[in-house]
Amino acid sequence: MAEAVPRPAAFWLAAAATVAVAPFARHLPLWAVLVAPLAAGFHLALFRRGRAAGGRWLPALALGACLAALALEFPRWRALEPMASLLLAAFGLKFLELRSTRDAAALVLLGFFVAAVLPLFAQGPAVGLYLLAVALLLVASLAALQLGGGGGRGVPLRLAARLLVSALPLALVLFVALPRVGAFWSVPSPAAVTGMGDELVLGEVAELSRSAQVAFRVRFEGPPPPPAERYWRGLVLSRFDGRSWREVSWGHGEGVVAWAGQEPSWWRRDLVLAGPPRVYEVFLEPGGGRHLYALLGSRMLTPGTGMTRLQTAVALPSPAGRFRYRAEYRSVVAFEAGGLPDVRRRIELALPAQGNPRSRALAARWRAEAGSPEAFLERILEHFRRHFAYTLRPPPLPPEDAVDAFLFETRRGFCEHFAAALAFMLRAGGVPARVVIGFQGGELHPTEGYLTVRRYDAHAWTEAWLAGRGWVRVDPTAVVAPDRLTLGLLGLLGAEQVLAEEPVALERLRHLPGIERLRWALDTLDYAWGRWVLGYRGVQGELLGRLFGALPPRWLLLPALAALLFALLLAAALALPLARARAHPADRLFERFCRRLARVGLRRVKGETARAFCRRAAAQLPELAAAIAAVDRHYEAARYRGAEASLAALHRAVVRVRPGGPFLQKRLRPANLERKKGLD
Amino acid sequence: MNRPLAAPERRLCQRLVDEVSRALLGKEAEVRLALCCLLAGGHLLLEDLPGVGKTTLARALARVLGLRFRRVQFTSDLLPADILGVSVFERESESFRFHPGPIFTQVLLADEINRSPPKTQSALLEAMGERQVTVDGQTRPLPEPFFVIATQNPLHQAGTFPLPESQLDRFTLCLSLGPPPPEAELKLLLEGRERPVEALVEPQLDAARVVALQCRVRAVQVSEAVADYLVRLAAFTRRAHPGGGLSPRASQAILHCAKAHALLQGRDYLLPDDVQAVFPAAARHRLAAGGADGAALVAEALAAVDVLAP
Repeated sequence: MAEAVPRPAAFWLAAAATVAVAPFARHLPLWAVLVAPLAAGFHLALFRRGRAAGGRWLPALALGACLAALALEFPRWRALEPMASLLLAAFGLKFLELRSTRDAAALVLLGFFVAAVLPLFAQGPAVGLYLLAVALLLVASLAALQLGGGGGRGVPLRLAARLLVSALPLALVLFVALPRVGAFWSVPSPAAVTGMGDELVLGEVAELSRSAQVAFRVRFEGPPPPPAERYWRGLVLSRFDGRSWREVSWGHGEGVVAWAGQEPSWWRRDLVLAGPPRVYEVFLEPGGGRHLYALLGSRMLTPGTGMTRLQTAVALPSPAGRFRYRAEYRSVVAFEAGGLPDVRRRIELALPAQGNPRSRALAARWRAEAGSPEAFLERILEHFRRHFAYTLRPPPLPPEDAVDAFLFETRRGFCEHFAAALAFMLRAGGVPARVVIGFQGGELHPTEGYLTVRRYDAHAWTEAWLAGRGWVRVDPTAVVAPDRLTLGLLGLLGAEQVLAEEPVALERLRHLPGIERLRWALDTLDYAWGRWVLGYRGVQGELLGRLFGALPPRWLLLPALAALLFALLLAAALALPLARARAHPADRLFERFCRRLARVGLRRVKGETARAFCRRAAAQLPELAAAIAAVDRHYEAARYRGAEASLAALHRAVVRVRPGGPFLQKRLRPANLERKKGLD
Repeated sequence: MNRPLAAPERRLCQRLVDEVSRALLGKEAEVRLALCCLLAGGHLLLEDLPGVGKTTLARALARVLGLRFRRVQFTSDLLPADILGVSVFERESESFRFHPGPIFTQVLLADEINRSPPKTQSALLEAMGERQVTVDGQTRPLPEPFFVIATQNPLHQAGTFPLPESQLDRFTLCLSLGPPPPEAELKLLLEGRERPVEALVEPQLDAARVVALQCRVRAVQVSEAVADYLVRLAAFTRRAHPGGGLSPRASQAILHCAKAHALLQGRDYLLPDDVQAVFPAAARHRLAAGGADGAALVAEALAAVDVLAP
């Protein structure tokens, strides 16, 4: 018969499981999160009635219900969410067959696995702290399991804390030294909170993402560019099929991408740059898709990244999750001013054969009336400025002839509407044009100097190709709502409108000065966390590269693991004799009691028995006599009468002996006084 | 087996001490140790100058335990047969008949044991160790319980034969009474006690109950911690003593006495304090053999060996 689970251990386990699954409530269906607390509660309730875990039918039924719910909830199985939900449900159901200490140990192990899944969804410093708490509770459950029914109520937690603290140095060493290799299997990343997609469909998304989540942060070496120049290019959309704007894929060939360290011939031809190069470093947060962002006129410095001829940044392999890269930028005087090749020109002018007839007619009329493409462009912008309004909640547009509907009927929208409509009009008027999507602006940290770009900074603008000047950035949004560029979205519309989806964001309370400071402090913490903890892989990669040259990290992993194993074995060999000779728990508690009394100068001599020492101490410290007598009583019971149950009482008694109030110290430390005299 | 001590038992233990103390004023600690020795089934050696109350203590102990008491004054001409008994030919039955000596009693006081020669002393050996007597090839058991309380004068006095080590080891405890404290002596003089010990001390037990109490002593719980302490004490004496220190029999005797000490304190489990209480009386005479300073070694051991596990 297997050993039954001690009651305290069951409690600790239930607490640990509940805390471990709680944060998933933000990312997974609620029922999956609730399985563990409910099953744990059920188990405890059975426990109270003195019955063991439920029979065979209940777990089977519950498992069936969970699988059915999973199938209903997720049409696709091969994704992170259904798998994580399955794990959570299985973890919870294990409580229904929690019978022996073996089951409990398995549950603890599963609990660690559940905790390890959380970083796939969230990775902030708060998550790190939270995981530490989860680990503490899990280890406490394990300790309670080992202690059986013995020990005080807080003993498992204290033991766990001690274990974790002593494990910390090893964890640090592992963190710093263990080479990071890429994942051996790929984890599907959770669905991104839409900030920027791969295509732009006019009117399809009725509302812009209003998440305050950080998209990326930028650290400039030197002064950052002014707010109106902070256009972070993500994708260049040149193909328009009447409904959506998409990228034209050029591949990653030599004629297309200038990789870090290379300078292909087209580079000098395409770009006329001025001014000194200024270096910046981008810390890309996960969840924003696989795009990199760069300023116009940038050259990538991080190996494996490069700039395309469209002046967008790419990386091979494309980054999944957190990524860090460096680049330098210079002011751009002209971009492809030398002329567009025919193929390119055709692409940048292409429009579907039909659709949006009114806009086409208007564009043709205005182009004819305007003498030059510049004047034509001015005319359209003037039209926007006069008759259009910026809003985050534009009226819906029909799928057919959306540009017509926007230009002639609704006349209200945000950046995507203006950028797409302008590009359409320009093309219809014979001016090569395209849509660029990315981010605009960002918030500069007042003291640290880095720039934080959030999801709601996502932006779309237009580029027009003008003969002799090349590609020119035209931001129609800036014309309609000039404050969008200088104040940012938040400054333009206020937090109430922008952050409707995030009711608890600190951004809502920006007007309070204390909150603003707190917000920046948190942001700094988050930045440091991302840069040094989560983004440590990059730092380590550079370091390893400097130490071992081009040796791939995978080769270093094996020696590192071997060294670690050796160190662990060595430590075990050294610690084992110590552990064997470890004192009786009652003796250890009594030692603690002696240490406490030693603080006021009362020391046990070797030949003094516990009872004799306690009598002497009680005579010296009459105010503690009762507590000391209790220590003596419980120590004797635990050590000499074999009453293990007295250990808890002894622990409580020892804790209660607190000598060393100022009064006592003065009275009982004549030695100190004498020393002072001697010094005088 | 291990039921806790009931209140009447506890009171009885204290009463034993009190009664004996009425005959021997101001010596409660020694009285307690002497009782420990007897309850542990051991033999007692009282070593002191004449006239400090050795005989009084022995008689009081016998009286309080309700046991038969005989006294033999050891002299230089005492023969073994004078103690053990002798077979005498009887005309009427035409056979030898054994006349038991004074040793066939429950408490034997061997007064001034070191005044008789070793041959006579060794006659006591078998009796003390085996609790039986062999005379003329025939073995006779001694009454139950059987205690020997021997007294001896300090060795530097004239006309003494030191006890051999084997004999010394058979005495579980060796006590020195010393002069009484002044107030006790004052009381003794003023009251002018002429009454015999038997009139002062009331018996509290009888032979059967003494045996029962000895059983209770054996049942006192000994934790590993205390046993370990005793082992470390013995090991210390073995390292420090030129003649080999305490024998395993000595450790056993100490443990037994300590258990009796615990019972007399009203406890059914052993503490290191009990070991410390009986250790000097149990170890000193054993370590004194070979000319070593037993008392100093005992004090050293008690001070140097850590009571708690090291």
